[in-house]
Amino acid sequence: MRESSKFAAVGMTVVLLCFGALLLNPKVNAAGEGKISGTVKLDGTAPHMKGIDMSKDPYCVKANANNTPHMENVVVGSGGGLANVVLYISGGLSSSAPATNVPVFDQKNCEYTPHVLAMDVGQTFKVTTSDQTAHNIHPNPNPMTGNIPWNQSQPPGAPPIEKSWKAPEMIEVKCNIHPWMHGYFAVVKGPYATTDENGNYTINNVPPGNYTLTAWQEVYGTQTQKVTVASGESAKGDFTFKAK
Amino acid sequence: MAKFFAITIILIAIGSAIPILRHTWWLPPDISTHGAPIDEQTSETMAEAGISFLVSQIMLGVFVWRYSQPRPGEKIKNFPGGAMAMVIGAFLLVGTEVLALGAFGAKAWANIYFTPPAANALPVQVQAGQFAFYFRYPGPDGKFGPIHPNLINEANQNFYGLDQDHDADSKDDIVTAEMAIPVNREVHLLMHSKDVGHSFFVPELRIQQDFVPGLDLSMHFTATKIGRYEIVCTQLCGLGHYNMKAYLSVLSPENFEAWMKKEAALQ
Amino acid sequence: MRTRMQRWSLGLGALALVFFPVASRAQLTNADLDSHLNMESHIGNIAGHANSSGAKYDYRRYCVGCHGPLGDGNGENTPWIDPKPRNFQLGIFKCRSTPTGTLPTDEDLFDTIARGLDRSNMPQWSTFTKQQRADLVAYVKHFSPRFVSEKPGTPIQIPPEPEITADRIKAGRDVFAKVQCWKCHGVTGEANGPSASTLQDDLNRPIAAFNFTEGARPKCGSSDQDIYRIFMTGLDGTPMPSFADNIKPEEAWDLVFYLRSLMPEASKERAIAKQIGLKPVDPNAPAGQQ
Repeated sequence: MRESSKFAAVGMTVVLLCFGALLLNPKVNAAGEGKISGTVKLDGTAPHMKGIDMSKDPYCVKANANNTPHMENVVVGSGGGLANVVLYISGGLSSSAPATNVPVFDQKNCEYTPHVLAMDVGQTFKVTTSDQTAHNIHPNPNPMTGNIPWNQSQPPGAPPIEKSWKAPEMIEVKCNIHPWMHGYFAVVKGPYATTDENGNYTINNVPPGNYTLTAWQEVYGTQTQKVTVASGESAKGDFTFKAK
Repeated sequence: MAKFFAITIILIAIGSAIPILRHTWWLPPDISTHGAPIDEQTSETMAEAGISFLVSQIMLGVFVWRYSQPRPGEKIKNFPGGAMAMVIGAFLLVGTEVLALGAFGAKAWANIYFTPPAANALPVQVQAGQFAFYFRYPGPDGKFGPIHPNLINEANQNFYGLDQDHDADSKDDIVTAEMAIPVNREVHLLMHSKDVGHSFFVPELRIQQDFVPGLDLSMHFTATKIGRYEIVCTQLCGLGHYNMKAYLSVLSPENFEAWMKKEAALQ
Repeated sequence: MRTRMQRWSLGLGALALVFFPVASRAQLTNADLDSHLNMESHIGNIAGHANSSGAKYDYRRYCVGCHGPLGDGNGENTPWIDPKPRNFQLGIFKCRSTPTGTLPTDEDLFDTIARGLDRSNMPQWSTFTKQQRADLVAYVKHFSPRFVSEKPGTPIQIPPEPEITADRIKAGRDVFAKVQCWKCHGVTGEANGPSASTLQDDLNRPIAAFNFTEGARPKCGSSDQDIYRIFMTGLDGTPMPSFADNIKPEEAWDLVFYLRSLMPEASKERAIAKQIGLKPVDPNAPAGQQ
């Protein structure tokens, strides 16, 4: 062959190989993504969640005048579905960029909404306050993981706080002014989802592959299972936690 | 100088007796059925000690005035019988006074501590911990469920460490941050400390009892007047001791039932 | 997944993710700490070294009883003192000139050692020379891996102190009402606010809010600039948050003056407040109508 044809042939092969590698490499933004969906249930009698005495702050009492606020450590829907469970891929994902949306953690009626906010390492999230009483937002990660605790006030009308976390960790958040308020920042790597009040979830944007899927609940801990996601399809990942 | 001293000391003695006689900084009015003997004892103690105090101070003043500058030719007289007689006399005088107070006081004390609570007394448990009091009512089953200290979790509102999902007796227990009792009904107060020493003091009830860590103590009393009173911690328990208090509401029986219903709904 | 290495590392990663939620605050070992002994500190033109014999000797002689040989706050005295000594391994410090969640500067640590912490068991170490203190700062830093990998935060800017006027003190009172300091500190500053009795630090131990009325010196300094810094950087490790996002620098000075008027020492602020008959804030009135 002539030099230029050889060069062209080799060049084309290299380019084709690169394309092939790109297509085969399970990066999040590749085409043909699938989903993982399922339901997380609680087997057994749900523990009783205590009512909250908010008399420390008359504003909180008034804001909750029409409903009795309860602790939210275990929230079970009518069909036995477990809410606030975080599902994420703990194995099999070679790399992923943090999701680009900005999830919001709101302080409303002296409770955190949502109770558990899932996010990626490095993903920006926002903390807002809808209350006319002062809160402080005080996440308490273990500094040894690389996540550093901080503590900022949010008086009424305060602007949102934007932050992100450096390392995967289930970080407890609390308000020092209202001791019953506590929630979680669930910092994970890769695609994630949180179950709704019926225990249902869908993780979107999952590249095809074989993965280890983990479900985490703040009281019952974690469970894992293997899932295989085919291109453009939805894999099933149901979990059942046993009540203590 | 001596005369000045004599006058000053008598004035101070009288001056310090006046607020006591006038009850300037006295205990608030008593609302408890066992309060009367306590108040009597307090008054008797004040009276006996007060009279001894005034007499001795006035005598001191008089003696200083009279003998600071002896008249020429005057001889110093001794206490009849000498020093030994004076000591024995003082011993008998003060001793009798103290024994008398003790004897009268024992009755007031026994009235509170050595009588058992009535059979139909309302049981209320109080747990003192740094730095708040929490109260527990047994609920309709009349029984207090077991306490599991390893389950105590303030963030989860589980102040007593109850396992309401597995202990049948705990299911209907009512835990509150404020104490309410019906008027004119005996209350059996069961006390324990979660951590260090504290004390339960309601001046109007004439009740002050230390919590000793490790001990389960009990008191009983009956409140006779509707109102809202402060329960303060009166045993230094740490840096938050100054701020450790709770409120006691003495309510009419109907209001008490309504309060219990409201608190039960919150559990 | 292609290589065995990838499979192993991902497997371990998965395990790590599983265990992170239950990870306790892992302690560093002597070996970990010794690897950081090359830590240095720089305060002005003084350089301190953690591996100097002075640092090791002084720490062993003066600090180990409370802060412990591993710098984790577990000295022999710890069970009997309150507040507990600082755990240097966490790299979280109360007294900083830097924003919340960031490391203090060397100078912050240098000043803390000299100032001590009033109403705690941390004495004023005025007996140390500047060199000794600088060496100790380096030694304190060597206990936490954060100082190896992270730079201290950028110290906050404190504008020059304006003149103390009655209007400023009144404006400070409005700030006190708006950001609701009284919830913990109480309307008189006596630390008897509704949330005061249930305050807990980061390790869920009871902790008391600062009582402005009893003549104590704030732990992180008692000058006006120190007080400014305290609420604009927050006291990390405690319930006291940073108000940097909610109080403008001008308002911050007003608040400093109002806080001074709550403190019992004679001061211009206190005199002016008394003269204008300033009353404590009303917790039931909305912020704008104090």
